[in-house]
Order: sequence, then C-alpha cells, then structure tokens
Amino acid sequence: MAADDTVLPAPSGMDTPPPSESPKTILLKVYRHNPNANAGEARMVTYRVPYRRGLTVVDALLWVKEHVDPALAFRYSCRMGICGSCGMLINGEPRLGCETQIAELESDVVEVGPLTNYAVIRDIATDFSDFFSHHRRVRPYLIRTENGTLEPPARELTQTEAEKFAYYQFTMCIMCGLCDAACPIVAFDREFLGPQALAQAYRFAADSRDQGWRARRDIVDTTHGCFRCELAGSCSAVCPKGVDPALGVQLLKRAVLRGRAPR
Amino acid sequence: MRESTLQRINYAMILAIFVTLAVHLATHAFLGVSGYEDSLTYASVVGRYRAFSTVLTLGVLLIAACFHGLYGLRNILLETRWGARRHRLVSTATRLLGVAMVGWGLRTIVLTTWGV
Repeated sequence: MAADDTVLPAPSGMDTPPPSESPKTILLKVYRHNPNANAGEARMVTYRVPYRRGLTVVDALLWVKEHVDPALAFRYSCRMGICGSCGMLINGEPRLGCETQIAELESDVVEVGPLTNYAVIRDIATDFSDFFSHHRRVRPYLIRTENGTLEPPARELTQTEAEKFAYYQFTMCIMCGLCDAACPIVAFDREFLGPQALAQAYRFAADSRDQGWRARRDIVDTTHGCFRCELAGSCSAVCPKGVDPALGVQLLKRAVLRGRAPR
Repeated sequence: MRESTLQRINYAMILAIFVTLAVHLATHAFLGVSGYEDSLTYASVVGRYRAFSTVLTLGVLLIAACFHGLYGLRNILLETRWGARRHRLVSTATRLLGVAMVGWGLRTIVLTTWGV
C-alpha cells in the first residue's frame, strides 16, 4: 500500500492547543491515491497533526485539508455518527471517522485508508455504487398490494411491540458500508448481496406490514444471495450502530428454508 | 435450481451419510461377521454385495457423499474471485462431475453384485 512516506510538520500558529494542554501532536498516515491521475501510484503520506482533547479522525483529516493539503479527498457530513458517510479504515479496522477519537486508539500514529471491498475514487473516498445497487435490489421498502395504485390505505397498519421488535434493530442501519468492508465473502464475490442488503431484506421481510415476501425471496435465494454467507460475523463486529447483520442473514436463511416470511 | 433447494438436499444428504455410514461400518464390525478383519476378506466382501440391503446402503452412501462433497467444492470455488464470476460454469462442472462419479460408482457396485 505504502510507496512513499513524507512527514509534514504542523505549521506554527495554526490550531495550536490551549496553553493548559500539552502541545502534543500525532502522526496521521493517510492513504493517497488518485486512480484517474497519470502518476496515480498509491502511497502513504504522513502528517503531523496537533492533538487536542476529543480530536476525532475526521477532525484530524479536516485539519490536514485546511492547513496542509486541500486536495485531500474524503467523505463526511454530519460528524455525529448518523449519516454514515465517513466510513474508513482506521488502523486497519473499518470505523466511522467522526465517531473514532484519537485518544481511544491509544497510539500516536494513526493510519487512515479507504474502506476495503470498495473501489477507490480518490484517497479515502470510495465508490459505493455496488453497495447501493445491492441495497436497491432487495427492495428495501414495504411492499403492499396497494403500492402503485392511487388508492388510499383502507386502514391504519398497526403493530404490536413484539411485531416491531422482530425487526427493530435492523432499522438502525445508517448504510455506512462498514459491514460490507469487513465481509470476507464480499471481498471475493462482487455479486454477493452483502450483509447490509441481506439484513435489510430481513428487516422488511420480518415487518408484519410487508406483503412482498415472494418477490424478496426470489432475490435473496440465488447463487449470490443469503446462502453465500459463511457466518464469519465480522459484519456485526464492526457495525457502529450495534446492529447484528450476521443474525439478520441467518434468520433470513431460516425463513427461506422454511419457505415462508419470518413472522 | 434455487440455492435453498440445494441446501435442503445437502442437509438430507448429510443425514443419509450418517445413517448409511453407520450401517456400513456396523456390517464390518458386528452385523453378521466375526470381526473387522474377517469382513475385509474377498469372500466376505463379495458375499455382502449379493445382499440387496448392502447394495442399497452403498448406493445411497455413494450418492450422498458425492453430492455433499461436490456441493462443498462448488461453494469453495464460488468463494474464489474466479469462481464467483463464472458461477454457471462452476455449477455445471460440479454437476457433471457428480453424475460421472455416481455413474462410475454405481457401475462398480453393479459389476460386483452380479459378478461380471
């Protein structure tokens, strides 16, 4: 991965920590690669970034972008673990950059790279086209017989607490893509739907209001569907929202084998 | 064929392997023979092949083991970059290999049973 290491010192007078804190710095090693450039060889570039209490990886990258290299590319938005935009490889593990504080990494050297299993657009920004395509394929919405008609719903679709909790945890997915980055099957089989899409397929299949089991089953019961999952469990280990996609995939397999919706 | 159908067949085959292998080993150890070594003599082996129950057990074991093994091989191949892109080729090749293996095995059983 690394081809050329460059250490850039923190410029004086910029974002200096308050006097009460120690002028500590960290080394931020960032994967730099522009596949579209002629000299697009991947390399790791090291930046010295001033440390402050509560500094997150996204903060550190923003500091580099503002003070050292404006060309650094990475994706972020909400900075509070909701939008799922800032998934990246931090010290070798898929994590959200905005939710990962430098302090919790317990290292003065932080290595940041693009998520594995995704094509690199530039630097840490990755291409999520396949990920979203797989998500769309499982029809991640309530399928009702009245869908597509202009008929208003005939009645309110109520649910009991038990019916809601059958799928509730899977609604917490923020589509950050960390689970797919950690999945060993996605690494080899690009057609594999992946833990995120399969868990969402289960989320809607388990919803008592859904009527699209047959259509969704035909999508997941294929060569690259739920039975490709080998239950490595790494998807659940890296999920920043505490969702258990591996459980969703196993429950989906059971429902497909039983031949009926999981409810 | 649906993946779930293959998976169901595979579970059935695993069960069949357990049962037929147990019967097969039992006939070598204590069912109708005096000991394990005696069961491996030429006369004993050929004698057992004359019994329909043995032929049935071996036939089922052959089919179940072939399916289970080749289904596993197919899954391993599908988990490679090469195999994932050529899943139809992998499925067809393992299916043909299975037919060939079962055909050859049944031929051996039939020739032994009828003493050709």
